[in-house]
Amino acid sequence: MLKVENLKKSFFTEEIETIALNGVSFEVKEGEFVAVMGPSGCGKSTLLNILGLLDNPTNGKYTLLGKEVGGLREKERTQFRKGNLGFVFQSFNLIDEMTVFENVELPLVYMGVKASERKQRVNSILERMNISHRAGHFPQQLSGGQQQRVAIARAVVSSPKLVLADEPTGNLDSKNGQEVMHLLQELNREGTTIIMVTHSQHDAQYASRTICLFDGQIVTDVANKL
Amino acid sequence: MKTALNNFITTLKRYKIASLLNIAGLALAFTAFYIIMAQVHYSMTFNSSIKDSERIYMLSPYSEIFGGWEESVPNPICYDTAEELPFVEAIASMTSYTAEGSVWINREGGSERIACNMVNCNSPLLDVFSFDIIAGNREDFKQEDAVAVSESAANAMGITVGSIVNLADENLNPGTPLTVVAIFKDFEKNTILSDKQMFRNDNRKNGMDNQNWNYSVFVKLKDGADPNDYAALWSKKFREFGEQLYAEYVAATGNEISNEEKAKALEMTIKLVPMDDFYFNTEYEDYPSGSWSTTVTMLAIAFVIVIVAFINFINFFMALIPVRIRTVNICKVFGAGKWTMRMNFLLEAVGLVVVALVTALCIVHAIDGSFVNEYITGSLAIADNIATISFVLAAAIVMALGAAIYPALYITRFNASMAVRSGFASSKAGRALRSLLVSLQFIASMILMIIALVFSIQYRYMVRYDIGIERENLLAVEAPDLSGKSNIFIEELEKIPGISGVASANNSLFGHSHSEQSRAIKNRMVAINLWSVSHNAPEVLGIPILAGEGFTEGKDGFIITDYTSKATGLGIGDKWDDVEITGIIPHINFMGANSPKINTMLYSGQLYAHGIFYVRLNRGTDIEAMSKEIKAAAKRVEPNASEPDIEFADSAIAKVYGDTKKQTVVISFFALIAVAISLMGVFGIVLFETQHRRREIAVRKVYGATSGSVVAMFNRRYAAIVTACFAIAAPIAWIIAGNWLEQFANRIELSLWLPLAVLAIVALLTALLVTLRSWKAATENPADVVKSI
Repeated sequence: MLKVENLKKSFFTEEIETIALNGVSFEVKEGEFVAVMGPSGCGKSTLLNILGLLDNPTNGKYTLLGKEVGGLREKERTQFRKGNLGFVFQSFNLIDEMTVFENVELPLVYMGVKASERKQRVNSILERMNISHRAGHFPQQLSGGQQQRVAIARAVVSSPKLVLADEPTGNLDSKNGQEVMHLLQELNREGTTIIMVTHSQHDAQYASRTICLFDGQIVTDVANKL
Repeated sequence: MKTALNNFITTLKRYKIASLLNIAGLALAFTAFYIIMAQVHYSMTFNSSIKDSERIYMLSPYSEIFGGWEESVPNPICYDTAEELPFVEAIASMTSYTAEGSVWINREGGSERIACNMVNCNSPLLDVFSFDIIAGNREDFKQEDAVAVSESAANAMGITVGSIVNLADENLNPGTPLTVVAIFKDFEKNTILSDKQMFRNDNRKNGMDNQNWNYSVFVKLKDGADPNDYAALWSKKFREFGEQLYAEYVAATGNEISNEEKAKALEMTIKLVPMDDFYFNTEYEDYPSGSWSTTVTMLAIAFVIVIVAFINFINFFMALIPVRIRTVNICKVFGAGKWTMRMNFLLEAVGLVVVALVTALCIVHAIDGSFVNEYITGSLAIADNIATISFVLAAAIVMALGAAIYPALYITRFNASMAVRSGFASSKAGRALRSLLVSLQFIASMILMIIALVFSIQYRYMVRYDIGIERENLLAVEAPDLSGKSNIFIEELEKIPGISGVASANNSLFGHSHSEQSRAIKNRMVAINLWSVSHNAPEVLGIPILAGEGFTEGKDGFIITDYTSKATGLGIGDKWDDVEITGIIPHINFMGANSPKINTMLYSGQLYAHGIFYVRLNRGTDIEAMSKEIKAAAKRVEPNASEPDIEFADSAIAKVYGDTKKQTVVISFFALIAVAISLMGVFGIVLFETQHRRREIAVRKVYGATSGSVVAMFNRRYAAIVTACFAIAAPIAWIIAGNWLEQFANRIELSLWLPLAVLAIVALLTALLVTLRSWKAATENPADVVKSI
């Protein structure tokens, strides 16, 4: 699915270089569920942004779906993301002015999917997420758990090969958090590759493998007992 | 108060661009409002500074023959009427036109020629208008050829009571000595007397006959008198006079005119125009006047501009709601009172308005004395407009409080414990309200732009309108000081290489300076407008002779237009005042495109002195060099003469449309301000929206939106608003512009491309602004945004 080799990422502010990732290498196979853990500032989100083609590495190789993507320009990255990648954020990042249906429909709009097909696919995923009765509501009218289910629906509606989740339960209570983790696990069992950044040891247990980062480097990379 | 001031400064610092845009928009609006209000104040208080202005009236007869109200009146009838009516306190006469001439002043070491504006009058004028004599004696003004001089003119000319001045050549009876007997305090600028520097008592000697309409007559009535009583007696006396005159005419000529024509000639109504309601009578060409509808339009525009600016202001405060709501709630948690915070919010609004007003006053101070004054009759000086400033300040504070009160109440109404995640400004209702407010701005701007465009095109059309002469390579040379030596000056000019011909006239040919005459001809009353020109004028001006021979040098004669010939039945060989009509020319319209076809006659003869010269140049003549040569020729003819004014005939013709030009410039200027303010508003809103929708933009980009599609998304929204506003603005502007064009006898056809051009301009400017602003948000790295929110 993806392979990173000696990945480096530095940020420059007022001539001071901050190294976020320092020579990270690993490989993720299709169908894996990988949890990335580590303390704040260790480079987890930076790694996730690079894996999700939201950012480019400063150095190193990144191969995704058999293609070297580390040096793509923004437009090419945008093009590559469509249909291949899905995102789930800690703060849901739903668009307040759009209904649940419209939020979920968004990736399909940018993929150029026909309206009739969009409708069918959105309704299907909303039912699957058990949120179809809220299709006409706005995000502000939903609970946190419901909002995250909508966000997951949006992430997977285009049937992406890889879903990247950045602390998906960080803003949820334990019950809703558990629900979300079950959903992700279910998606993974159906074949979707998932990489999830988390602080929670409990959530990491849902993954088949855990990578621990510290100061921009991988310190452990172990398979979990399921 | 200190806290409020601190908050105000913090707001300014924190929201620099939005605050600056707001202040700039408001300052521009206040500047426009101030300028317009200064003009409105000038118009509305015209003549009101004259003592007892409400009891002073100008007598204005309605002339059926010329089809309008006249400012000159048969004097003896007026005085006879006044004598019989005890409620007439005083009556006086004054020439309606102000002679822009010169006088000679004797000084040590020789005489000096000085230009001045002079009117002839009789001595009661000083009483009717309550002249404030500051030196000399009112009684002495009763002597013929005594003059009263305004204080400012006396100072400028260096004369005082007892000085003798002599009439210069361009006046009737040049050389006549005039004695300065009184100096009076200048009248306010917005009075009919303010432009007159010297009043000469000529005992109305050119108005002792009822057939000579050379003077305006003013009556001061006692309190409670009914002006209609005066008008009724006047009309009766005029009829008596007419009957007598007609009997004399029939006895002398044996001719009679039809009863209908007779009734038309003998029935004359008169109105008494009160001084304090004088300004909006636009029919009196010799007195300053203004259009009521223009004043109202200007006032409406002033309010529209202020409203457009306040819409930005409201939007600004609405936009601040979600940004500040958290701060407000935190302050409440720590004990801040609801009303204290509301007051702070309101004081911030007032502070912004005061800063904008001060900026506007600085702008007004800077532009006072610049080209702007050419388009405004009223004074722009701050000291002259304290009442206007007070009004603007009061209105501004009320509007500021009005604009801020709702956001202030809204933002403070939540429980302090409530974690507000989205405020009114980010809700659908908030967006709809902002869209509505922006729409109002667009509608106002588009209406003003369309109207300004129509005005501008009509003005260009009029300036280029064919008035019946060849205007290319034709110079108009105004040299009134040479009117006594016009023949010598023409000879001098004709010697200059590059000049192919020189004609002359008594007044500028372009405009309203001409003589109106009416005579009983072939059993009917005929009215004609007459211009006095030199014998070679048709040739120099390029006017072909259609029939007859034109003028003969040294012989009096008339030439009429073919239109006049058809309308009056006059033809070659007929006579007007015993002078023969010798030729017929095509229709000429010296009064310009906004005048209908009128009976027009050219006179060549000895009756009038000529001070205006028309010089035909050969093609390719160096104008600057020619101008110098003409001035040098004038100097040779009369060394003491003031330098002639030289301009192309095109420019002289353009001056005929001065009022239209003023309206066009003023409307265009204010349209520009309205558009600028509206675009500032759009910029501010896009700024706010792109900040507020950063997360949305980032999410869209994460899911495949390109920067271009994000920019297009913003543009689509504003394109829809602009299109909808155009659908409302275009018909309104179309109706207003159509009504305005009605006043012109010759006018442009309204064409669809005019509003479409405005739509294109507004759409383009809006797209430019929206693209500029949204591009920054659209090109942000979504990774930075999603993790920072």
